Amino acid sequence: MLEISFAVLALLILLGVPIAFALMASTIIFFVSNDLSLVGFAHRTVVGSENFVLTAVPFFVFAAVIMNTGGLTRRIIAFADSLIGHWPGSLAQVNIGASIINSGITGSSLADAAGVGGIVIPEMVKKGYSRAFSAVITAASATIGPVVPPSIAFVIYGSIAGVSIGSLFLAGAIPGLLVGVALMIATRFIAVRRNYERGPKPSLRAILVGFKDAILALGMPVLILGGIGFGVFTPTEAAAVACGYAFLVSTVIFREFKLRDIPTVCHNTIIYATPPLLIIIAMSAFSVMLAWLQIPQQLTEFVLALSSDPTVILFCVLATFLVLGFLTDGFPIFFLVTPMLLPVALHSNIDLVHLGVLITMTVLLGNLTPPFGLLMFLSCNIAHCSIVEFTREAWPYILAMAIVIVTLALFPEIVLWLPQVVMGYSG
Amino acid sequence: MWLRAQLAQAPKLDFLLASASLVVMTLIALTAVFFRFVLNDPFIWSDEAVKLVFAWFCFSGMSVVARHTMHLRVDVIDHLTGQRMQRLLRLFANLFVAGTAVLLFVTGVQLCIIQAGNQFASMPISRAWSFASLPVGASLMAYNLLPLLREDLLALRQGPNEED
Repeated sequence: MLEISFAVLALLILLGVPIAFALMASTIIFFVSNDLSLVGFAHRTVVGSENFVLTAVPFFVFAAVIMNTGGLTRRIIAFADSLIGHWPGSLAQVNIGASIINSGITGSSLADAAGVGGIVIPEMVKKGYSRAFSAVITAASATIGPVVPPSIAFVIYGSIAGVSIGSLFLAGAIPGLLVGVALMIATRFIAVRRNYERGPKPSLRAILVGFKDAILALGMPVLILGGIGFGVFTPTEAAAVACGYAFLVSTVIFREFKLRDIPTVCHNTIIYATPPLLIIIAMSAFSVMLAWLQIPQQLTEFVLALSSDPTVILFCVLATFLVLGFLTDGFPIFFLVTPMLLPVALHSNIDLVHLGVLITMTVLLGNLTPPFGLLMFLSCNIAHCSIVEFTREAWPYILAMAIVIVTLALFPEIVLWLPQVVMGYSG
Repeated sequence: MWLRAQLAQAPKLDFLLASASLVVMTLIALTAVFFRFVLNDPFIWSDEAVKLVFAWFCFSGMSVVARHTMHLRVDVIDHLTGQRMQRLLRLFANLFVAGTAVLLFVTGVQLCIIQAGNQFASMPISRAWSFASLPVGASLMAYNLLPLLREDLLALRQGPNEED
């Protein structure tokens, strides 16, 4: 029956049926063939939506869309432009730079892609960059979002693995910046080869003016991280506070956000946030099938049978997440596979903070690839390009990210240095 | 007449429900932070209330997204087939989603009936209010897919055009 469920899933997806509904169909076949009540399927579907952590997704997207409409994102992009706009591939570099700054605010790759991509992609297309390249840059740079704190992914992993979320947040800072640097290097090579535009070199005064304009937007990471760090609010509440802050600054201070903008902002939030949420909700019922058939356990046993060397096991665990990241979405993988692989990591003396950062980055890599790359879908939606074109342009960035992940896997001290120095983390 | 007027409003109803849910859950989360941090008087019900409204956001949003044909899908086949085949596949996908919506509606109503007696742990509200988001969202989506299905059928009837 497993084969039929997966075959139906693959066929429906290939025929262009929306992924959430293909997953539902596959799960329904499983429920019917095992004489399970379809009311149970409906129950599982609604329960999949009753996840407090997931509510952070529309909040972060809402905040990003308000920032977009209210002029905050434009100021962040202008600041990034004043800093790095003179590099080859000017707007592509600005896209990455703005994503690095935004990643300290939104904590969600989807929100980053929606926020920065919504502004920079149309500009990139106007300046002659292909739609697919613009989408790839947006999607690849948005992967920095869940690695640099605050991060929804780290909150989920920390709660499952019983690891300090503060340590995870600190551990993600350097790897996130390294991904940014790797993407900028890859972009530089591509930009020089394709002779993409570059802006004029900025004066110190222009940089200071850009900083002054963006200071209220740059204050958001301080508010969010400070609020979470001092225990004022949970990460989900931090996302709601980000909405409130963005709304206040946009309406009262910048006066760029009008009440008549509310329907458009709500519409954009619904359009950006709902499709990936529905896939995660559909995955919630689908995961019942995976758990029933003990697929993750079989994968774990396979990994343990290969070797007892921690580095080999670490790479096998990452390979497992990479394969699953290609096949499904990151959130369900965290929920489903992480608890099963934790005993393997503990048994092999793999540091759980190190593992959490690497798993997050690996799963994000899967978000850039078909058939389930959510970032790919979102960016393609914004840029109006096809997945085939996107995939053709994405490989240098996938390679750059893979190099960073392998380096971090081989040198755990790069990841663990900051939590050790700041929080005295000792594993 | 009344029914027709109500049906004409249906496409907007999903957007109103999803938008209201988005604003309400943001306000609940913000108010909860204010009461806990500023007034030192935390709500015990805020997390469950946000989750309840979130379910309405997701399933009303499902209908809005279907209306705009923005559900995430793999478009590889579009690059391998002609326009007529693409129209056929679009019709198939929309029919499939509409069929799933009907199934979600039926099972969702059954679920509401079963759960009617259960309450949330921190609120004196039936759990059916949360589960009702599924049949309501599914029925709105099925209704909103009807014009798209009609459009698909008309396009197929017209036959191949110059682009084929």
